[in-house]
Amino acid sequence: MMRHALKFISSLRLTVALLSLSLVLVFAGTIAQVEYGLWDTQVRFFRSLFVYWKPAGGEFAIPVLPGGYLLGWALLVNLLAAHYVRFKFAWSKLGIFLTHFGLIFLLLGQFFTEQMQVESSMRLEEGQSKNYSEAGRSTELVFIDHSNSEFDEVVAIPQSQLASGRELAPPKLPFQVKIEEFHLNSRLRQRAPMMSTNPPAATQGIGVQAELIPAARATAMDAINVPSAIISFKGDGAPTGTWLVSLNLDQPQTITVGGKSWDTALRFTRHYTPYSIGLLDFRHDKYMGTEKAKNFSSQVRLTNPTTGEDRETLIKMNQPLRYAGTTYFQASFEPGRDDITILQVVRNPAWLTPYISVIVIGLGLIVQFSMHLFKFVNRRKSS
Amino acid sequence: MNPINSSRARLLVTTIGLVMVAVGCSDESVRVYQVPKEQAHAQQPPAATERPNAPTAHVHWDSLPANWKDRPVTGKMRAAEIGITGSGGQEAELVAIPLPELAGKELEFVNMWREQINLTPTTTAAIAELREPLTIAGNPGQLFDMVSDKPLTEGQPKQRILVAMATIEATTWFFKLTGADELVAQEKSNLKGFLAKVELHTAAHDDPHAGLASAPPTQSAPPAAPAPGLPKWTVPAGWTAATPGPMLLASFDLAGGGGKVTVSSLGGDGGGLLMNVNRWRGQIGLSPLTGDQLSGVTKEIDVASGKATLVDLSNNDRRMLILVVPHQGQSGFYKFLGDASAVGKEMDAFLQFAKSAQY
Repeated sequence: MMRHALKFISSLRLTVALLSLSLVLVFAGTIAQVEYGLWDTQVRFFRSLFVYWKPAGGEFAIPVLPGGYLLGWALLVNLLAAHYVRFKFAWSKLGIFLTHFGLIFLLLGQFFTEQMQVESSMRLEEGQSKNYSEAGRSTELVFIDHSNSEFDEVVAIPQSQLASGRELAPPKLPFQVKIEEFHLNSRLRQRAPMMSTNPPAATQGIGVQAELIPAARATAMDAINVPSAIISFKGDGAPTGTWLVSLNLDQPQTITVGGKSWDTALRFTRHYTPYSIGLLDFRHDKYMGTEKAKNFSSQVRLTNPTTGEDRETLIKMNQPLRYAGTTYFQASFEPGRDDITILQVVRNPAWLTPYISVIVIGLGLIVQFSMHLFKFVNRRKSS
Repeated sequence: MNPINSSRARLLVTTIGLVMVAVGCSDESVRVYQVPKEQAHAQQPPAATERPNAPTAHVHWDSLPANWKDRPVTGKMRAAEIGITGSGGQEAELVAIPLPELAGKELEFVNMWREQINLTPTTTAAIAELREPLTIAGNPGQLFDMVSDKPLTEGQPKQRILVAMATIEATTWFFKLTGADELVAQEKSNLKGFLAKVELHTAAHDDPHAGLASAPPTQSAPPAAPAPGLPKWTVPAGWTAATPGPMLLASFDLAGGGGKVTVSSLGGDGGGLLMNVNRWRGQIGLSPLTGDQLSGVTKEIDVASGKATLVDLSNNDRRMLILVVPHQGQSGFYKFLGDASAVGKEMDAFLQFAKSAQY
């Protein structure tokens, strides 16, 4: 039984079938971007085990295609199993082994990149310095304790845990948080006292003045969702009523429990670093006589109290700053503001894997073809 | 082919399975971390005297009924806010709002409130029957009592609105009591008693009265121009973004100061075209129109979201253009007010701006 199973998972037919399904998946994923947008399609088609389809009016989603994760893992298992079944080391096959090792490394590297890479952005005004970057497509519900004079303690609940009706008991907080409503995309409108027919978004805090209007999920490349939630608290001394938190609110709200206060807000997920980056000068050069961008560059100051570093550096297009495992790319700017830079911040511990893989695959191919070439030349000489 | 050792095969399959499970189970969890204090952190609400744009209008009273509770004012336009709790836990809210003189606009306001509780508009002739005289701070005022025909939300009681209003000097004061029908009806006599004794002030004064109700809000209002929530539009050259006032999404000043463009959004049709047109006419000193005269000042134009209505009003050297753009169950109001010459010159740019908005 096991023998048959292993024969199947190591077969070349399975390899061909998996590669064919990969082609279908890429095609379907490309078409689906029209409806779902790039980011949603990536999650539905490629960062999933299966691609699901829900018939109109149906309650259950049906898996219709294997997703990217399933195909990737299946290809890897197929390759490993084939080696396991057929492995017999011989110097004459060194090139093939190297090439396959490179492929395995590439597949694993891509998977670890997918799992471990953190992309975020840093918006800096000239004169401003930050020790964190913000993820542009994920948010967190935070509770910040300012009571310590040295530091602020942040309890951050990721967006993936925010769902309508869910009750959470975050660590370090003496109260529970209930998510009464969660809307992935929404709009807020100031509630006009004599005009509004809609109820206020919440009974406490800023939500009393606002109306919460749920919106459809944003699918365009340059559009973002604006999540909002209505939350309430449970526990001894917890405040009563409901509170509105939203990415659209520019100030945190303060809640007090048992004489101690926390600021709460729904904000872009922050990634803190032990060093800070400050913007000294932003340059946005254009081709003469046009509005076409020629060059962007940010003169920044890097300050790291833990190492004593304090230096200036220039970040330009195609010339990022690599520091402490993080890369800062010159990404964008704000129209009409020549004093604001937007840096893309990428932390990817597996960033070297594609380079190593390609070198190993290339080396394997050179070895293999060279051996064939030498064999051929020797055969001709001897004949 | 090598013979396959089944125990080794099991080991291989198990190892691959464990790796997949271990790596696949990387669900996000709650993080707790310490960060240096932000220098720009400013959470403490400013004191009342420091609050920019704080309304100086306020209300004094000696005492409140037992179930009435003074609350911090939460709206920029409000001068006082009181929460009322009924014996059955029902809640109602009384707010005081001073506005520049609005005498003569009772019908528009009453119809606006009636719409809030899904009542049909009333007429000038019928409004007299709805009016009850009362005294507000020693001045003659009027009270309107409205109750919804059915609950606005399933399972909830019907809603009642009591609005008392009086014009004192150049200010019209509104006291609006909203809440569950039964509770608001019960509190009507308390409201009359309360209003007879209140003191109304439109400006700050030295008397440190104990019952000052204009407490500073604990939080700032939602940003009037939140970048992520605003429609995308192309602002014409020469327009300068200004700080939008309450209820406005955005505001722009024309180069040279000849006019101002503002954008707001309201649910549904924003109270109806006729009511709005007459309100705008009043703002530039024109008399109200009747429904069949409306077509003379309006015309339909095509925009991305469908048909929009352009209202063009002029009086002497003042001109006002308003483009009403329906979108997603709401109405966007693009308003351009200024000198007739400046408005005429920038009219095309204004229309292009309004048409460029993508919701």
